[in-house]
Amino acid sequence: MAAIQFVNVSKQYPGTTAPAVDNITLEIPEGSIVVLLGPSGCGKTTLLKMVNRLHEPTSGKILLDGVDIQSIPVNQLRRNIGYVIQQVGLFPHLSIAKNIAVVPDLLGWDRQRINQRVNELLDLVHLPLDFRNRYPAQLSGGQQQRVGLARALAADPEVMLMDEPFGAIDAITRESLQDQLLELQRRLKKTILFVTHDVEEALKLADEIIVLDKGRLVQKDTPCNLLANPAGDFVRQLLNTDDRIRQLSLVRVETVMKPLDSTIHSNRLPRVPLGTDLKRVLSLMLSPASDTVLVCQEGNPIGYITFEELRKVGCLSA
Amino acid sequence: MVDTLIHTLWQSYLYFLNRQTEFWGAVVDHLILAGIAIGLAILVCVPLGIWTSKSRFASLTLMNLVNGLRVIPSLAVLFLIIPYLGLTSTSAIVALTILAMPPVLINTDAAFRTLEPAIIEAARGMGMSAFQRLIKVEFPLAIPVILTGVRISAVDVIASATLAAFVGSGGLGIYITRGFALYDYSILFVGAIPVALITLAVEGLLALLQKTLQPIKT
Ligand SMILES: Nc1ncnc2c1ncn2[C@@H]1O[C@H](COP(=O)(O)OP(=O)(O)O)[C@@H](O)[C@H]1O
Ligand SMILES: [Mg+2]
Repeated sequence: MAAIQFVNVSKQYPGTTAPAVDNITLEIPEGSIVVLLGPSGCGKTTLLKMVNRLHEPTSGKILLDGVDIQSIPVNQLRRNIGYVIQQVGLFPHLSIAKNIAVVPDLLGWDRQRINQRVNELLDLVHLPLDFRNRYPAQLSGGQQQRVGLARALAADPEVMLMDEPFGAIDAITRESLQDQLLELQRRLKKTILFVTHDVEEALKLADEIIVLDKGRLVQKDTPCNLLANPAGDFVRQLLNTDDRIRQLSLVRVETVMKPLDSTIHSNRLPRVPLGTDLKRVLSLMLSPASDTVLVCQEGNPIGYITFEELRKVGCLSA
Repeated sequence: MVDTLIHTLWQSYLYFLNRQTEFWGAVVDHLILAGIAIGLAILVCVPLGIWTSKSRFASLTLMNLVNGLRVIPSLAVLFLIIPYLGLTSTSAIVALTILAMPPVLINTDAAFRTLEPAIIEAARGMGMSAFQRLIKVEFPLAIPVILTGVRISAVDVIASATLAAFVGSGGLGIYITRGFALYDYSILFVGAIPVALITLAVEGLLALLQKTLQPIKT
């Protein structure tokens, strides 16, 4: 079952002429990172905030694990959804430990459990335990957002909403936070709805990308498909797919392939010889869909490439 | 010039030494009067300020009313009230409270109005009820700014509490009215100097309190 379902969801703000979100029907599969991508003002935040009811839809409904969110008391709903925003919004008068403990506190956990959980979370987001007694203003932007992430994860919610969480953070720190989010996600398997207008970030993080334009859903696809088969000029231009594909064609398999190991069962996988360019690899991944392509030397497999390797290539972050 | 001043101050000191019981009684009365007025102003205006910060209607009506009130000097307020409440300490307290209210109201309103939206959104997004938000987040963050209003009020009220003597409610104002009546500056100083010192002390204390309640900034 999909963790989050949007059914014909529209939202029009009072006093505006066009809907900010226009009749969106969408399923967010459990345990995946789904990225809402689109230019500023296309309705990403509006769509996201309807999930924790910071905005209410004008029409349509949203289901969480099959349950209409309107039937859940709003604060109970919110306590079960992690929420991370670009401005972080830590409470400046509370220590880091107390900031992280907010939701467990609201849920009435006992002190010892909260204490233990705070330590666990600091560990999880790679912050030292002696940060417990610091205050938000004493942390760098990147550290603050780690705390923001820990705070959102505190009560172990199944669903996380993240609205441009790394948007205000310098490029280097942003990359390390993205890597860390992926690492966390491999362990925690949350359902994450992630908003960004940064194409590289979307390609890097997403299991699926949803492209929005003026409140409408334009394309919903894996990063791989999105690059190879953009649904029209809007997506093509937004993702700059032509450039990215051209750059893939300049890189050869041997620069990114991983050596063959026992986890790869090579029988039915598509094969390419050494010297093949990555554009060809991408097209093989698509038809028929296979996330792994073998690299062969004189007919014998010696390595493999997955979409992860393509993601890591500089050309996806052109 | 300086000689006469020193002489007058010496006279004041002697006057004080001879009437210590009366003097300390006046100090206590003065502090009680001012304290009650400031206390009442806080009690009334903090909730009102929270309301005006969140309601357009409240803000339009109340803030205009208060800005109107500010124009009237406290002495005038006092004389306007006397016909209704008589020459009593109630009149003095009402007048002083009216004087103390605007800064507290205006600062409370501003404090809540200028809370960082992202912080409030985070609080809502995490599932705090409006009341929990108020108690756990908004109020603690607003306190330093509210205290600024209280400081302004306190300074005003402590100085103006001398007016209470006009309606026979005691306080350090008794020396000022007496000094005027007898054309004796040395008596006047016995009221004026302690008022100035108390104002400074209270201002300092509140500043200290404000500093300890300020969220840590670096
Ligand atoms: N509170 C609001 N009132 C009126 N219009 C709004 C409000 N919030 C957003 N909008 C409008 O709705 C559209 C979508 O906004 P938003 O969801 O914030 O876009 P995005 O997050 O993709 O940048 C924009 O045109 C924006 O101006
Ligand atoms: Mg947005």
